[in-house]
Amino acid sequence: MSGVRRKWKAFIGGFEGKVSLGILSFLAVLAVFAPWIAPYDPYDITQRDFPLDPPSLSHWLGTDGFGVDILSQVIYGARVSLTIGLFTGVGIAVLGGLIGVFAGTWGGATDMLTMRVVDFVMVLPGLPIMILIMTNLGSSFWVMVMIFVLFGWAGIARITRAVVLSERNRGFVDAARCAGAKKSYILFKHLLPATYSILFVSAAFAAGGAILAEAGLAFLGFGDPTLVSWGKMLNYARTYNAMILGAWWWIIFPGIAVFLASFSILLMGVGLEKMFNPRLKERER
Amino acid sequence: MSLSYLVRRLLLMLLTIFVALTFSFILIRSLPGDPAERYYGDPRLPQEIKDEIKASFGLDKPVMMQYFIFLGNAFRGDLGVSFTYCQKVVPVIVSRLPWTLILTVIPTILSMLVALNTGVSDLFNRGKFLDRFMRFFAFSLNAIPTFWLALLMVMGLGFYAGWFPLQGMYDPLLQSGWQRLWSVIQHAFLPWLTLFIISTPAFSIQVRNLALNILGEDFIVTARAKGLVQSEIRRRHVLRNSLGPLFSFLTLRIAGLVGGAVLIETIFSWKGMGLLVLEASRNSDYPLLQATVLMTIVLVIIANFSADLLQAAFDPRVRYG
Repeated sequence: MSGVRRKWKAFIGGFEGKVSLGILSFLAVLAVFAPWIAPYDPYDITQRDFPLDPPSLSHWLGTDGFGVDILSQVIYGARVSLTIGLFTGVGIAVLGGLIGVFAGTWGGATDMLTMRVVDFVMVLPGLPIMILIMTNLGSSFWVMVMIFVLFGWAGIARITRAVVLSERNRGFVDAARCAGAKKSYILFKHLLPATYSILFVSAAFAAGGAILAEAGLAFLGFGDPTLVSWGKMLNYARTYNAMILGAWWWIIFPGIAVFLASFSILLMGVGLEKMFNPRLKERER
Repeated sequence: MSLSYLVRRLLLMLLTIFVALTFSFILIRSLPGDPAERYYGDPRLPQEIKDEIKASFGLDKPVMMQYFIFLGNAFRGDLGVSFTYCQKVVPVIVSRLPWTLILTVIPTILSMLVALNTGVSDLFNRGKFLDRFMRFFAFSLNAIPTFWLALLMVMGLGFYAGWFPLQGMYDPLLQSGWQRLWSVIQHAFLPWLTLFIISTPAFSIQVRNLALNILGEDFIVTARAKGLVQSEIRRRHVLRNSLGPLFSFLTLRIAGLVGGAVLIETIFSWKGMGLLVLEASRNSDYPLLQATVLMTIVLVIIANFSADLLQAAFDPRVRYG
């Protein structure tokens, strides 16, 4: 327990930990309590005002081309972005981690084949293939999460495998093997825990990337049609010519929200990395 | 470079392309519904005519047979007929490719040239304020959606300042070659600037870290011991030794940008391969969509292959790895 507390202190004591956790918890509060915090309900078509109102006291961030309050949309949009990030991060860490650990533990032909697949998946151009898949399967929240996980696991699998390969030859693994432990026992008892730290870090980076990718896909018109999201706001802003109409607030604020969300999560990844691996700091000098 | 290395890499590349083709066939054929349905028009069409249409596309043959026909056609460079363009898809895609390359290759090479200088000078100032600031800046750029930055560029420099055209590739009214070229440069400037801003800090960090590894090598110590001046060490030992990995990084980056060009091309209405993917998706032009994605994958695989070769050509140690 004291180990965990010490780690936590190292994390929150650093610049990255403080800033990322600050922004992230702010966004999380917005997402969870959106109906109470947001001044209007963007899903309610009766709560509309004049379209393209510039920022004012009644609409702090203005209204969009349909008269919907931008601030409320930004607050509700945090829900989609953060959950996409969360599910993708966890999904990628679990899938990539398991595949990497299996490849590293089993070795031989399994390992070689897995690594060839990893090489293949890593060079695939993600965006066009995602568009191809979403054109065929339709765009929904879960399809998006599934695609992100399918395209994201490879990098983590490679890192995890490397960790396992270096851990496999350590003394305690040899001892377990001599004592007659099965491969699966060694895998779950000794090798998997060694990869936890790297998985946390990778999950954070993957989540940050997923938020950006979601915004990009939604911007292209592949967002979940039933949900308000930042990318979709930008998509509407583009298709309804916000720029030509002079509605800069319709373009600027959703983008800032995307930036803050992915920035804080990526920064959390850096903070976690430093926490798990204090030697990193020395290398930078 | 040894012949066996080349042959091995080449075989691996062909195998990867083959896997990509197979996957794309499986993906398209596992969709529900009849692929020829689009051509029936009226659903009350008699069954015989429907069968005839199906047969004309070879859809009456067993799936394995269809797969081999697809592979054979693909290797002859025939990936089907587009619904919207009513012609073979490959020429349509090939005509778009140069525009995507113009958009992505030029800013990438420029930012690499800049990063070679900033990266190495960063390295020799490491730990100081400028270096720390640059690294934080580069890190923050990772979190900015590229397409949003492009939107801001258009809005600020294009719409409000009025310095650049908002979208398109050139002014169609300009006929003469040089005017046309100048018009293309004007239209391409904002996307170039966006990609340049996004890439340069990332490259700079890459150069810095590569060079940092080289600084630890023995020959640098020797060079110092010989009494070489700092600038000479930078140029002759550090920079030159980092060129190999940098070239392959550059190639992969361009390949990635070609794949990610959809967003930038959408914003600037730049009729390249990325926008083609989006158009095909909007028009439910499945053959075009599938072929464009497939060609993008093949391009990326070939780029990857040449990156490996370049790396091996620059650095003899790679070949034995």
